[in-house]
Amino acid sequence: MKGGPQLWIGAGLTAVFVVAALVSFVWVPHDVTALAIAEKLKPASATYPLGTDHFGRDILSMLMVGARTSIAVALVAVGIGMGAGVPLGLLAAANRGSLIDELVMRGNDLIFAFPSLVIAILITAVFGPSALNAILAIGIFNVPVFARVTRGGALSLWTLDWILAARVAGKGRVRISLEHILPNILNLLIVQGTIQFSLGILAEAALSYVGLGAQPPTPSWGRMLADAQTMIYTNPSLAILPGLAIVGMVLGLNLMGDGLRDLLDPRVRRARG
Amino acid sequence: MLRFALSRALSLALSLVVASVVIFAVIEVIPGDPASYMLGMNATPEAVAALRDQLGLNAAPVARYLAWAGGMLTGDFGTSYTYKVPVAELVMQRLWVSLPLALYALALSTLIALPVGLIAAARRGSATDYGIMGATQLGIAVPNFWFAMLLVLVFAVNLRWFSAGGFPGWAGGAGPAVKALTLPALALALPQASILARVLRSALIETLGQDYIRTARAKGLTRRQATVRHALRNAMIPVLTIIGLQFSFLLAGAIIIENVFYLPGLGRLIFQAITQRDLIVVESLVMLLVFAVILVTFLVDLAYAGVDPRLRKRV
Amino acid sequence: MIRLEALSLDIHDREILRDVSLDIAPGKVTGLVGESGSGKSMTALAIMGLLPRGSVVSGRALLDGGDLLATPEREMCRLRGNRIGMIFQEPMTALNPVKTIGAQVAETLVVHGKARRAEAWEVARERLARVGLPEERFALSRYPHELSGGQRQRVCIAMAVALHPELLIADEPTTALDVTTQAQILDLLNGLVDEEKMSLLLITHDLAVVAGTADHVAVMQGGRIVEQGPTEALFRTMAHPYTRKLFAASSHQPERMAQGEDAPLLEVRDAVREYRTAREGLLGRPGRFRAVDGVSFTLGRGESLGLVGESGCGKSTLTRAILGLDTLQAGAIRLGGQEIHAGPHLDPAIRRRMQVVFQDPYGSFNPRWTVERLVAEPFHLMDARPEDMQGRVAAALTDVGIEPEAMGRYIHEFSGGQRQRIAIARALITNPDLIVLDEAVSALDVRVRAQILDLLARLQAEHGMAYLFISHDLSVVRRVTDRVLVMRAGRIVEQGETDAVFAEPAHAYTRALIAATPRIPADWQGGRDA
Repeated sequence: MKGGPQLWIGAGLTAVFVVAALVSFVWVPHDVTALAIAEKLKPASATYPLGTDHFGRDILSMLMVGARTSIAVALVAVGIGMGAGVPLGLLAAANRGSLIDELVMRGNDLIFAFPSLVIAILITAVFGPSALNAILAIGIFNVPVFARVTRGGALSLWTLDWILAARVAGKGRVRISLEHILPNILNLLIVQGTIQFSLGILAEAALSYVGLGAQPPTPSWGRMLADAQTMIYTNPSLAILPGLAIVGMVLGLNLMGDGLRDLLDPRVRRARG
Repeated sequence: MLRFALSRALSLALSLVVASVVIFAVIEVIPGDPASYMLGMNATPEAVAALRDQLGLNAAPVARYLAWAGGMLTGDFGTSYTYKVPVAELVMQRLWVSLPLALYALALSTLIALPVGLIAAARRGSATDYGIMGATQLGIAVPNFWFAMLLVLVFAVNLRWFSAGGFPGWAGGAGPAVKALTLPALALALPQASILARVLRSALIETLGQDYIRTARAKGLTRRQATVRHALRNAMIPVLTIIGLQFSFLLAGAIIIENVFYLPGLGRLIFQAITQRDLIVVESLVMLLVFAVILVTFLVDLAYAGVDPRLRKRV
Repeated sequence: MIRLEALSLDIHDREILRDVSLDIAPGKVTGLVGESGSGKSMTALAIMGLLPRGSVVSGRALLDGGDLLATPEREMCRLRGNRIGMIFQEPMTALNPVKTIGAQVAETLVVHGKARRAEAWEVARERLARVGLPEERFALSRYPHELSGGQRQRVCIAMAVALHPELLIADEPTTALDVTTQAQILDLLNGLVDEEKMSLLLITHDLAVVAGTADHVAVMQGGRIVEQGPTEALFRTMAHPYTRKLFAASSHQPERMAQGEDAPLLEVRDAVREYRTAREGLLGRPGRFRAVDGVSFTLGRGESLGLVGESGCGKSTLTRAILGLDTLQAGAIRLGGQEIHAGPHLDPAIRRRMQVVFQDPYGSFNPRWTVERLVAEPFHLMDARPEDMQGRVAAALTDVGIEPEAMGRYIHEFSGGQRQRIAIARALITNPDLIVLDEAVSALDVRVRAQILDLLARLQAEHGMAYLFISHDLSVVRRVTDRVLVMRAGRIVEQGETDAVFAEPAHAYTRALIAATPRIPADWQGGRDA
């Protein structure tokens, strides 16, 4: 099987959560904004497949909508990281050793000194907590990651003869970056994108858990865990289910990323063939 | 080597200056008036004016920045608005929880990851390797704060081996303190150990494919000798990078884990400060965290030069 | 010393070696010659017991009556480095970058338990001095990156002979080195064979190298030894057709006539190009390195001009300046009277008058583009893409001997020689006046190389373009150029008619280069008419 079983297990696992998130837009078993104290802390049953929480909300519905929050935050954060990081990386590589390169790289180093949690703390301290906050914090931290991967991949290509041939054919740096470099580092970016996506899910969960991310009543997996913590003695399942959802989603993405790398990396392919 | 260290130290100082400007700008300049922000909506104009005066907000931003940065250089982090004590004092108390926790976790993570990664690389393709790779894949996917909750559930709630949280302080001896930090450190370390083990494995496999390993084998070294004498040190270069990066994750993770275990560390302080809108504390703590990360990056750079002679210039 | 009996090898069910039988005589040099993929390196690795995973061997490799192929790994570890030493092709990567050269040589003794640390260092010092790295100039505490390629190969040799092995296997030991360095390393190996009464298995693709060094030669093709015998006898008879082909190709003379006109096409005047060397951290000052130091020459229309020099002499930098990829600090380069200013502002009309073919057929093409798009890339230099673009690509491909149907295929489907033909087609597409051939045949096996040289001669006769033929290989330059420039340390030290320069070199450096170039004695060529 191309890409090995891990690609397909990972893709399948990821698909489960993506589908759940998409379905939640049109249908959920129960409304997650309506509180029904009478129904609180119900065990699993036909009506509530995974039981209810302390406000009587259906856990399955919460998990579905939570998937939406996680995926949206992580996806937009990857988008920000790629949108800014890839052009910066290409620019730095195309002008290797120049002032632009130096500025981009030193800027990256600086952002690396601010873990996404610290960025979230800064933003929250000034603007108050929100899901947007989490997106920004994770997104900003993704920028240097993509800039570095792009620059590294691009630099190794810039030394190749075919790039010289393109320059002899009169092509400029921008055109070469777009025509020759970008398509050839796309593999690298796809794999890194998957990794950052899964790190984004983890980071969103952590930020929501400490209250710097999605705010109630928006359900999110990290928030659910924070709520469950005080009830861990009495209702451990409330603390276990959202955690399993995070692990499942992240595991799926990571397996898919590894599978994609095996599939797309010509070195690995050659070793197999 | 000295020259290398000096030039790295210079760039360390430069990073600190730029980082402090960014933090200062975000906290004190962007929100407009920090004083009315800190006092909230219901503050009287008199109270705001008094606080502005107390914080020295009437001075120009540049002068305020210089005063703040200069103060930090001499250990003066300002006075907390809510606690009414010097921030430095608050930080010092809390640092004695957070720093040992992060270091404990770093040590655990490295101690677990090195043998595991080595075994996986040495038995590449075997059932052991697949088992280790599967376990680390799972370890990476587990959020540390959830893992912490599971640890509490198993070891504190069910087995009652450890307490579920709290910190006895160092005054009562190191034993109880270390015990109280063990579950949090484990929760922090395991996901990081998984990453580190995988990095070490792939770095080792990559170095084992290098020409100089073939040379070493042609000299008569066994596979094991070649791994230990030649591959390991070269594989340490990417591993060091990851250890450096992990320190910042561990610091950030420690802030979160402290909430699970109710540990009185920097993390708790920072969240309390955010809720109480105590910008002075937030500002200083963020600066401290960033300083720690930059300092570790610097140390990792020096360690690189220790491992890789190509980075040392003969002077 | 070692006798191979019907050695066969399959790796992952692919046939690599078949019935290889060879005697490696004690105290003699045995040459193993073949093109890439002939199985000569695998033969050596089989003797060493270092075959890759998935290898299935049969036959025997006898050392003192014991079969190496049946010897357990633990035992083999005791043999390797002790009784059999080995050195490899690429000295730049063969040494551990984080250990000193002294430690790496001493390690051979230590792992075999032959010496304690202090004694081992003493031996390392003596062996390094023997291979030409005396401690006064090359401290044992040096790291590999502080040495040149030739010096590193010497360290490898010191490591391999530290325990006075009975057999040294040298796998293409000089292929990555410059010709003068190659001569020194071969001398060193020969000297060690005499002194130590050691056997040497010399593996190479270069017939001239074995002709000058080996006592006994075996020729390999497709995993089999097709012919073997005492060196001189083998060269004189050349019983096997493959040997004859190999020999003919290595001295192949393309049919060409001098056709240079006096009208100058390319003029280089006092060209200077300096590089800043790496800054030592933020505090250090960048140094300066003058790669091209006042070079002047002229290339006539339709002429073939050779540019010869060893690595680091500045020929690549000069090439880049001529192609308008790098700016000069001083001097001028003119093509057809128009000055070349590097950078994106260079007039496409000038640029399309010169094209280039690079050395590495594997790195010269974007793997994601079809051959049609690759060959058509220089059309970017036209004001508008020609309407009959496809037809012109087809014509260029036909011209270089590639069927036009290949246009829709990707580059990985082609062999090295075919790729080089496609690279030439790409260079031809704009009908340039000048094609720069930057080591364009250096990476090719001799038979493919001969074909490409023929192709180049034919194209020049048909289209009348000029060639700037850049190479480190004097024997090739001698056969295909009208005039030649010899470059050293950024300067042209000698120039003139090719035949005259080779017959009577004026400059000492040229003489050294010619003397160092290995060649097959002229009177050995008996088998040629067969």
